[in-house]
Amino acid sequence: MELNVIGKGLPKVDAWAKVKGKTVYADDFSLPGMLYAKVLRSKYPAARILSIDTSRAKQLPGVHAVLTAKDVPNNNLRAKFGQSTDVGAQFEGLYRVLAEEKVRFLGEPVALVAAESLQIAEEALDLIEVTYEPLPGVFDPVEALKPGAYPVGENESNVVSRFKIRKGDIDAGFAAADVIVENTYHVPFVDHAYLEPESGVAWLDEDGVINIRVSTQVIEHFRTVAEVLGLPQNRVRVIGTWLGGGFGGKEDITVESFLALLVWKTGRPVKLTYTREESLLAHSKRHPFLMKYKTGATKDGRIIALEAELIADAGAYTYLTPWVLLYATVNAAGPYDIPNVKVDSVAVLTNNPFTSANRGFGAIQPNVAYESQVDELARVLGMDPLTIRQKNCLRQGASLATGFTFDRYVALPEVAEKAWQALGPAKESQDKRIRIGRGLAIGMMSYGRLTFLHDSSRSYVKLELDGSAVIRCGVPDLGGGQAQALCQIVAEELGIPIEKIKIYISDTALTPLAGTTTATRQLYMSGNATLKAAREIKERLLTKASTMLNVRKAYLKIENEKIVSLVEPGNFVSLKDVIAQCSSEGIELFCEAQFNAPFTDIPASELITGQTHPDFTFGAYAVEVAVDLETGVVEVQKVVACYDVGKALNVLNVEGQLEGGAIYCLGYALMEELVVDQGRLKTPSFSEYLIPTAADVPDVETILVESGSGLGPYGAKGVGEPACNSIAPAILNAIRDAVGVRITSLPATPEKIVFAMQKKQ
Amino acid sequence: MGVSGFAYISPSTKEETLTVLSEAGEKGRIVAGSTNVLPDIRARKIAGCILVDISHLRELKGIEIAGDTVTIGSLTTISELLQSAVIAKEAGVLWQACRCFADPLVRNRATIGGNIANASPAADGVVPLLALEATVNVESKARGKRAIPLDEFFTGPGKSVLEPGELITSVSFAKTSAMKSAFIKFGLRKAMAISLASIGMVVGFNGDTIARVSIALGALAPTPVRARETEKYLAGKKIDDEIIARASELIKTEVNPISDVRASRDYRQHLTGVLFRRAIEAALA
Ligand SMILES: Cc1cc2nc3c(=O)[nH]c(=O)nc-3n(C[C@H](O)[C@H](O)[C@H](O)COP(=O)(O)OP(=O)(O)OC[C@H]3O[C@@H](n4cnc5c(N)ncnc54)[C@H](O)[C@@H]3O)c2cc1C
Repeated sequence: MELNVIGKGLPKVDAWAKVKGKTVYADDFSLPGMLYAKVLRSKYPAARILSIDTSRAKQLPGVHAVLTAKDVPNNNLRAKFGQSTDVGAQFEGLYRVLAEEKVRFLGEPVALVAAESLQIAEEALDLIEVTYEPLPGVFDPVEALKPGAYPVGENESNVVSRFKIRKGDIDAGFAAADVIVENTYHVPFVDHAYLEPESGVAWLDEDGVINIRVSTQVIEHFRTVAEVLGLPQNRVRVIGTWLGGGFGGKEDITVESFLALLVWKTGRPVKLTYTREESLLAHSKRHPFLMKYKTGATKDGRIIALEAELIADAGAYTYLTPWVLLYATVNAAGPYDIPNVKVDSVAVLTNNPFTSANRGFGAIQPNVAYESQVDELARVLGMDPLTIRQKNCLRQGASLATGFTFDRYVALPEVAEKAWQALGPAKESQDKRIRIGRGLAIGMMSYGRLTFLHDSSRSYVKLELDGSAVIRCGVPDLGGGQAQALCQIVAEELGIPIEKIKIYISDTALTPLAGTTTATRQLYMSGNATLKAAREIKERLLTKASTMLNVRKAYLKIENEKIVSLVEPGNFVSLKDVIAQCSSEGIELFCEAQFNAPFTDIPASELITGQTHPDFTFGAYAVEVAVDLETGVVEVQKVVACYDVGKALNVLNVEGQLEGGAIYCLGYALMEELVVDQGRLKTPSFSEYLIPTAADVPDVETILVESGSGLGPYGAKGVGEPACNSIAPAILNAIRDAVGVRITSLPATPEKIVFAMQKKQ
Repeated sequence: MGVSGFAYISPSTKEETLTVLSEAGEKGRIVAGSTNVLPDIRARKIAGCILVDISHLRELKGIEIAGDTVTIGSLTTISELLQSAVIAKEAGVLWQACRCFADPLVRNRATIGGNIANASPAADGVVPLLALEATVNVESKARGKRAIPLDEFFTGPGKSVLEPGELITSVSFAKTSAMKSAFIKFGLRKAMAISLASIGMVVGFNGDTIARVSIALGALAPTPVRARETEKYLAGKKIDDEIIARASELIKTEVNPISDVRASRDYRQHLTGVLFRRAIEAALA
């Protein structure tokens, strides 16, 4: 099929407004009479609330509301976290709006204030008197697992969930192995560190509907907000803004319930924007994992046994922990065809910050471990990093340890080779203090949600009489080009220039619900829904044109705002004329379509088998680092990302995703860590929590493989999350190559490297 | 975040500033580039004071040379130092330090006076000035003018001998165009990093022996410090690998770093020796 719009490198429709500062982000928006909200947060990681006295705060002039748990109609929900289908108890958790009885983490919301100004709201916070009885708390997931450990919650166990995978006979596997590598890995808490902290403005409209204009990845939280307030779901509307980044941190509810409660109480519009420090302290984090790995291979380099034990720190509340743990479990053995596999995973509550979604969602933590293991095996066996991976990786027809079989093209051998070769000839350092090293890592990551979530998306496409088009689709755009992709699909299918397409996104009242912008699902899900709608309209146009031109439908194409005969190019009719004809005959020029992902059953036990995800994206990173032997500083000099993206709908955008993904986890590998000591954050601002600056980032070379084998429109796969997989272990492997030490806990700081080198000597 | 509970005064001359400061006493808080003051207000480290904004006082800006002495007005920004041919030539160690200070945006606002008064052990402007054996010139209504040697200025992290009502007007030092200099900052990333350790060095040679050397260290003690023992050891010596190796061990005994979330004491101590070797090699090159 010849494509006109798809596959090109088009600038994003939203780019100029952002560059010029015209985009109205959540905090840029204000309303007359608006109040300002602030959140009072717990000063202890674990304590009993003995009393809360809000009387002085309420008396402060300019204060309109001070709310505590008592004022919340439904403060404790069994939440499905934005999911509409029933997912079963093991995948739900407690969503508590404001702390009651016991606080579980430092920074937990305890009370809300709305006041005439931010200053007054802040002063009011100081006037709220909370008396706490500090409790011991538990801060290490391993401790929290022990019998008799401090209970983080009220009645529930500290264990959030457990999963396991069994394949073959693990003991026989290790018995037959010639070499065995064993290591324990640790990855830390990290933050999403988006440009835009959590923010929103809410108001009550003339129809008595609570409107919440908010920076969110999930507008479907309107249902939870309605439940919190005890209102019918159709009385809460969420309008999503263009996001200044999401990365999973805006997948859970952030400010929505707080805003709705304050609006309901005061009748006034209310704004709430977290400070950066609040964002670092109190919104979700990436799960730290402790990962014990044992991997065995035969002399000729065949990996025959893998045993992994994963312990995840869920922090103080469940949120998406069960799902993240499930991803980690399915990914634990990596994209390898291993006959004997045993994986056990557990996620545990602690009095640490709560953990939930973060780009990579449980897939990237085990990726650090299994790719380090494969590298170590290669070293023991004297194999090169590419050969061992090509020898063992999955191919079409092979299965994961869960039994899920890949019936589509698996690009692993190809992407690994292309990435590795793109590094070019190796060079020695001229400086005797610097050692150069190279590392390779491959990975897989799903796109689309867990199949038992029964995911679907809807999109509406309409042609106007002047030949322009409208799309309405409830997709939140995180800055990843989610809206642009849908415009391109309609432009391609209906033969109209992209400038003539207007898209309305992210509004629960006005746009068909498209599901969450998470799980690398929007192009796959909403792309397919939009494609289905556009093709339906195209079909009607072609049918009409067929009679108008007296040419059979099969011999017509739609292009450049015309419908043209394939056999006789001079024979055509303008799109506008076809539209006019359809319109006068009452033929519908709009279509709302729904796309459903493959559905599977909810896992019935801890043992995970069969299909859990619709499909996977495969990619590889190759990096070259220069390590300073004296200071331990790692400079990443080259990064190559090679991914099978199925089909690049917009080359510029796909490259942007890969570059962004590389940088996102380059920071994970080398510098990012939220240091939490006894539940207290030791890196409370961007002065201590370091992310890479422009000066720290090398050019990222991207190589796109387009196999056309994806489940998305035109054979596309998803790349948003997969893009940040594999770079961290590639860097660790390159450090190992350069200076001979295996760093097993992230981040690989200069200090760790120097002391590891000294220890080795 | 609002700046409530603060009074704000913007005097129009240095004289008026001194009067205002003397009246404000303990409550007065000078504001220059505000790159420390504003974050401190936001973090509630400063509250309820009178902000005395001096940022527009021309009298306190600029770089002057009189004979052998270079004088930098306290309101001179890090960017201005970086753009100054005089600083590049006469105070190479300071110029090099300005290059690794924060990022261009912060450098456009941050002043040298603010960097000194803030009294951070990691201050990147202070370490080179210490190596330049600079003098801080201060003025107040109560005590008139005082010239305080920089190495007597700091008393602890965030603490100095500056008294309420005192204004830093300038900092001065002797030209070092005849000497070699080096500054190395070690931070955990390439820009916008707080120094984990830093070193500033000014060396005068007599043929191939060291005639005079001053070495200043940042973030390795409660205040920026001189490495006096190492300086003494090196004075009069001909530089070779053996001497450098010994000096790089000696200098580690002169520091007293902390362990914190950024790095351990051991690592900072280790860096001291490494940075010393690199600085002296750079100075020699
Ligand atoms: C993002 C960021 C990055 C930074 N990076 C660095 C860095 O790399 N290296 C580094 O050293 N610092 C850094 N800093 C700290 C800061 O920029 C410097 O200390 C700067 O030199 C302070 O100068 P200022 O003019 O902004 O001082 P202000 O914030 O205005 O004042 C700082 C202190 O000095 C006092 N003060 C100011 N001027 C005078 C005066 N003339 N007389 C008496 N007291 C005075 C003030 O009362 C206040 O206590 C950084 C700060 C930020 C926000």
